Parts: sequence; C-alpha cells; structure tokens
Amino acid sequence: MISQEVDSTEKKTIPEPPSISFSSLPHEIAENILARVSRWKYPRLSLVSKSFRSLLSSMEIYKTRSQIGVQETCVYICLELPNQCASWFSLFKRDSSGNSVVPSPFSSSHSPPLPYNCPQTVGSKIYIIGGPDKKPSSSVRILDCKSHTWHDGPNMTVARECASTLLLGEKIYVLGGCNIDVYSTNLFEVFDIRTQSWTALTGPRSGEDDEVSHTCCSIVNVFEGKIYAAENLKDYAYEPKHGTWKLVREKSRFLPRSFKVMFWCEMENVLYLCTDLGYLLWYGSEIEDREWREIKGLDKLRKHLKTGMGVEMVNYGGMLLVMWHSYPYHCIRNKIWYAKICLESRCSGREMWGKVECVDVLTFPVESFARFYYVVYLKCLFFLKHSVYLAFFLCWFLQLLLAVKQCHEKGICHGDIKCENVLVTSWNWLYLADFASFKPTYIPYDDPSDFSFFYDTRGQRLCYLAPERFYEHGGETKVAQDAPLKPSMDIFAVGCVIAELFLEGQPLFELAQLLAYRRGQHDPSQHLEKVFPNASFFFLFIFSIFLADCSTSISNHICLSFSFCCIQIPDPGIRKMILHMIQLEPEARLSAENYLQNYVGVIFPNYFSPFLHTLYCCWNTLPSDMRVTTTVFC
Amino acid sequence: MSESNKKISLISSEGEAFEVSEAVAREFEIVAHMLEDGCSGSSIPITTVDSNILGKVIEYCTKHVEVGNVEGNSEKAEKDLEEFDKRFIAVEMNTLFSLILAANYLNVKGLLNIGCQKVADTIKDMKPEEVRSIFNIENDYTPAEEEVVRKENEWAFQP
Repeated sequence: MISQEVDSTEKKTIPEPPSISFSSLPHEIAENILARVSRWKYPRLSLVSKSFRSLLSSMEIYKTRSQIGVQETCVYICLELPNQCASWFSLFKRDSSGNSVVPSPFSSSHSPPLPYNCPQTVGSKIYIIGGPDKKPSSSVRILDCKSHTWHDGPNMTVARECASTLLLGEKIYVLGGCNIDVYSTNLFEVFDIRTQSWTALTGPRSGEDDEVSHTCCSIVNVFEGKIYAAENLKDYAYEPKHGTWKLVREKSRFLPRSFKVMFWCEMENVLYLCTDLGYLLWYGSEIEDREWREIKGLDKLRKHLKTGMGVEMVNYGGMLLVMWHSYPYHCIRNKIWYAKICLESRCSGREMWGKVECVDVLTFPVESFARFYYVVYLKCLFFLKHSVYLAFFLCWFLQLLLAVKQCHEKGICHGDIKCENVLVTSWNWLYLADFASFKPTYIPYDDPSDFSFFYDTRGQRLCYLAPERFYEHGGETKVAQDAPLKPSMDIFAVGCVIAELFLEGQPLFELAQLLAYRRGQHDPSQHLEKVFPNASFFFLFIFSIFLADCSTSISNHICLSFSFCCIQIPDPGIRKMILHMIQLEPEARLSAENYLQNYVGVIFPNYFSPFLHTLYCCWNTLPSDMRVTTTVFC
Repeated sequence: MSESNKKISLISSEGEAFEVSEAVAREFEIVAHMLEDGCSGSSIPITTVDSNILGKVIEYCTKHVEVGNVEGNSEKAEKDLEEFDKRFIAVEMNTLFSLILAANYLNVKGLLNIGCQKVADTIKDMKPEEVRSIFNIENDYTPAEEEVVRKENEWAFQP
C-alpha cells in the first residue's frame, strides 16, 4: 500500500478535529450502540440525558436489536398470590451479587389468572391460553415483553381450564381442559401465530375408546417434530404434516410409572424431566434403547431438589434453569431456589453430564405466593417501598397497640416484640407471635453472648430491647435475670417496631446504638426526622384495596362509600409518640391503653377506630385463638 | 486473478491517496456499489473521511481480506482475527467514534459491528455521570425529572 502525501503543508495546518459527542452521532448509530447493551442497564442509562431515555424507551430499539442479531434471554416468573391474582417478576442479573428478582414494570393487575400449565413463549410474547382450574375460558391473553403490555388474542373455539399447550413450528397446540362431552374432550385446536387464527382438530382418541375413559388426555411434549400425548398410559404421536394421530406404544414411555414426574422440558431434541426424588433425567433420540437416563454429575443438586416442590425447568439460553421452592406446609413462601446447569454430551451421545453453574435463592417482594399461606414476616414487605404502604402501616400500628394492650390487660408481657414476631395476614389483620417469657428479662451489658443467643437469632445485630434491660456486672443494683417483665419494656419495643415501619425498614437501633443511647451518647430523634417525608395520602384508596381483598360483595359496597375522602396524616404526632415510647425513663412511658387514648385521636382518623376495627371483628366472629388456628392451618 | 490485482486509489478528505487492491476496496460496500455500477475510474474520493481514519479502515479491511483468503487452519485464523479486532478497536473514544462514522459511511459492516460493540461494552457498567463526561453529553434533566426517572425503576439503582 502506498500512501502519497499530496500536500504536506496543508496537513499540518488542519486543526485537531473537534471531539465528537454522542449526540452528534447519527440516530441509527446511537441506536445500534445502545441496542447492544443489556436491557437491565436501560434504567440506569436513561438517566444520562433525555435523548438517551427516549432512545431506550422506544420500541425502535428492539427492531434494531433483531436487525443486528442481539438476543437476550429474560426469565419472567409469575406467582399466584393468595388472592389468586397473578404477580409478575423478572429475573434480574446484578453484577455484584448474582441474580435477584424485580417486579416487572407492567401492571400485574391486567394479568389474567394463570392456568396451571406453563404459558407459551413465542419470541418476545407470552401467551396465556384458557382459564385456571374450575374457571374455563376461551380467552387468549398475550403479554408483549418488549413494551410490557397486555393485549387479547382471538378466542379459542371452546372454553378450557388448565389446558395443555405446546409450541411447534409457528403454531400453538392446545389440548384438554374441556370435559363437557366426549366429543369436545377429544377436540384439540391449533393457533397459527402468523395468521393469528384458530383451527379445531380431532384428538388422538379413536371411536372405540369412547366409553373407556372420559378423562382428558395430556400433551406430553414436542419431540422430533411430533407431538406426543399420553392417555390411559398409552403414547400417541401427532404428525403435524399429515394431521394424523398414531398409537406409538401400548405402554407409555413418556409417563414412566416408576417415578413421579415433576416437570418436563425440551431442548434441542432432548427431553428433560425432574422426578419427585430429585433426579434429572434426559431422553434423546440418539441412544439406542431409548430409555430415560440420569444426567450425571448432579448428586449435590439432587439433595436440594429432593426436598423441592413445584419444580419448573426452562431452557435458559442453552442452559437448563431449574427453579423450585422448598416450603413445607404452614409456612410463608416468598423464596424460590434456582440452579443453572450447563449440559454436555459425552461418550458419543450416550451420557449427559451436567455442571451446576450456580444455585441460589430469590426473594420475592410479595407476602406469599401460594394459596393458603397468609402469614408473613413484616420484613418482607419492606421491599414494597410505595407510599400507599405507609397507610397500611398506620393500620398495623393501631392493631399492634391494641394487641399489646390486650396482653397487658391479662397480665402478660411479651418480652421480645420485634418485627419478626409481628405477623400480618394478607387481609391486614395483625398477630403478635412468639411470646418470650422464657427469655431472660435482664441481660448483661458487657457480655453480648446472651443477647445473641436469645434476642438476635437472625444475627442482624438489631435491638428492640428497652435500655433498662441491660445491667452492668458489679453494678450498684443487683438484678435477677428472671425478674418479671414490665409493660414499659414492651412499650419501648413497640416504639422501635413502629419506627422501623415508618422508616421503611430502616431499624431504629442496632445493638451498639442502643447501648450508646443507654449511656446518653446517641440521639435517635434525628433518625426519626425521616419519618413521613410526605404528609398526605389518599387514605381510603387503600381501604378499598384491602376491603376488597378481605371479603366479597359486602366489602365492595363499603369501598365505594369510602373512596371519596382524602386524609392528611399529621406526621409530627407519630414522631412525638415514638419518642415518647422510647424514652429512657421506663416510668415515664405510658401504658398501651393510655397511648391509645391520648394519641390515637390525633394520629388516626376517627372512623379508623373504633368503627373499622369493630367492623373487622364482626366479620371475623371466631375468638382470637380459633382465628389463629384457622388462619395458619386452613 | 487479474481482477484481484487491480489497484484502486482511495482519496481521503485531505486529498491523500491510498492505493489498495480491488478486493480490499470492495470491503467498502459503498465502493463495491460504485465499481459495480461502473461509474468510477480507478480513483475514488472519500470526502468525509480523513487520512488517519481512512488508513485505519483500510488496515482493517486488508487484514480481513488476507485472512479470508487463507484456506484451511480456519480455527486459528479466526482466533487471530479476533485478536486483531480486539487490538484494532482498543483506541481512545474520539478515534473510535470516527471509525464508527467512517464504517457507517463506507458501509463496512464488520467494523461498524465491533465499533458499536466496543462502545456498548464501555458504557454498559458506567454511572450516568461517567457516560456524560466521555460523550460530552449535557445533563438536560432537572433534579425533579431525574427523580421521576429513578422512581420508575427503583430496583435498578439499589446497590
């Protein structure tokens, strides 16, 4: 290559080119660059400038993505909440600390209730077809994951509940969930994604089988371009090209009887399943005897999976993503385990080896995701940093005071009131749990081991104990560790819990801070300044939510009549009350009843108490103990 | 054979001429179109690209044409090319932008891709302030507006 300098003198006089700024780049280049960045970074990059934001929030950027071939696998997790609503989350990969979940940026309220089968994903769209158990529906709801909006697809020809669906080519096949008569049970239909239309087809059952079974058959999976269905433990295969069903085996291999299948998944012509004993099996066309085989190298994971329930598996960009939860009955559920497994075929396709990339747990910012498990730690709710929750807090505050008043009236002191021991049901009824009369009343100031053992089992170093409960070895007053608890000690703890509520989960005292406070070297009032940055909320909007949540038609009626008022919350009142409750001098603290009398009128709207509280009590006619039993064990 | 030996002059914005083989010049899609249409002689003016950048783009294309011509041993060659691309694109931001603009204008797809990817990789983990400073972008948000944007996706700003 020869380069000739035509005019060397001219070159020297050319000034340095002005530095190019991003905004001077042509639009399509800016888009090309940003399309290559993970969508999880978009919120942060949106802060750069308004033009960045408009680029990143437009749908055009997704077009550019597909043009330049940038793909990103996003996992959406849908939870069914106790009120049967669906709540959507996405798996968000943090740079530092692995994965976590974030509420999806679209309104879950438009989500249809989920059927029990898996929704079908086509490109960036999620199809939810039919209705859940006992609520047959012919509707098709489609979630567009780019814009995060819902829209309706064309209805199916019949209403179905918990139908089996699967994707093959550009078509979604739906079978089952419609048991009106033999004819419709056998009917299956197919949705063409390109033409967005349904066609009804005949299912695998031939005429002579009619009287044999009335149960719907289930689609097992797509395998080698065919649809396999199992019925009466027989395997049928559907060839889409010819539109015919064929009996493949008299003894189903897709429904192995020796173990219980938890979940299926197909990836690159290999089927995977998880059994109830935690074994992950695979089934490929390459192996001669066509048997299910175990994926090797996953012994450690099996121990996890063995206790796992509700296992789901998904193809995560060529890896197997397994998710499960491990909750026994009567337990809150807001955590889901997941494992990412890399798969490798060895011994010329005769063995499959799995390598666990990571096993971790995801915490969901919901109370609980199963149907009957209402009880929740207060802590979990702190993720929901939304001003409306502050109004819930007021309601809990009142109930907490009432609860403490009730036990003090019966001569019982709790002794260990802290956030973890305050349980709230999904309909906002509050329970005080884990009474701690067995724990020592007084603990040594200079020896943290007692504190850790009795009062800090979670190792968070948070302290809700009244300062007078610490004593110094060899101090002037000798105290017995098991001296009776005093109500004023509980009041202090209530103050701390309430403060933590209104500080959106920020604890009022850590142990060190409390000890400093005891010595008079720490002033919590500054911290409390943060309580209630905004003074007003649309209060009754909230009521309409939880009344609707709580019971059926009566509540809707009541909601309407409430929903017009807006109430100002007098914030200094709460702060003053908390400071009064946590003052150092135990004798100066009032009793729970006095707080209710003196402060409630100031802080809470009049109808809040006694009207609403009594209203709740009327609905819930059971005595307190019975109520706990039914709530926890129903 | 004779065709690949044909030389073509590319003239930069400063009027500097770069003589390249036709195969290399055809890597510039814009040039390839001109040649196909037969509307150009043996010297083609590239008026929007200066000598420095044009030289670099030619270097990139020459390397890619060379590697493309070598037969066999493709795995190693590909690896070499990847290494080359990596080194080639490790330049300061201004040059990188100039390269991207030139690649866009000359329609050199491969260079455009690696250039944009490099910028994307650079900014993806940056704080908004850092992105602004390397790109000379002015923050046109008021604090209140900024707060709204933050609020929309609070999860993204938690540590």
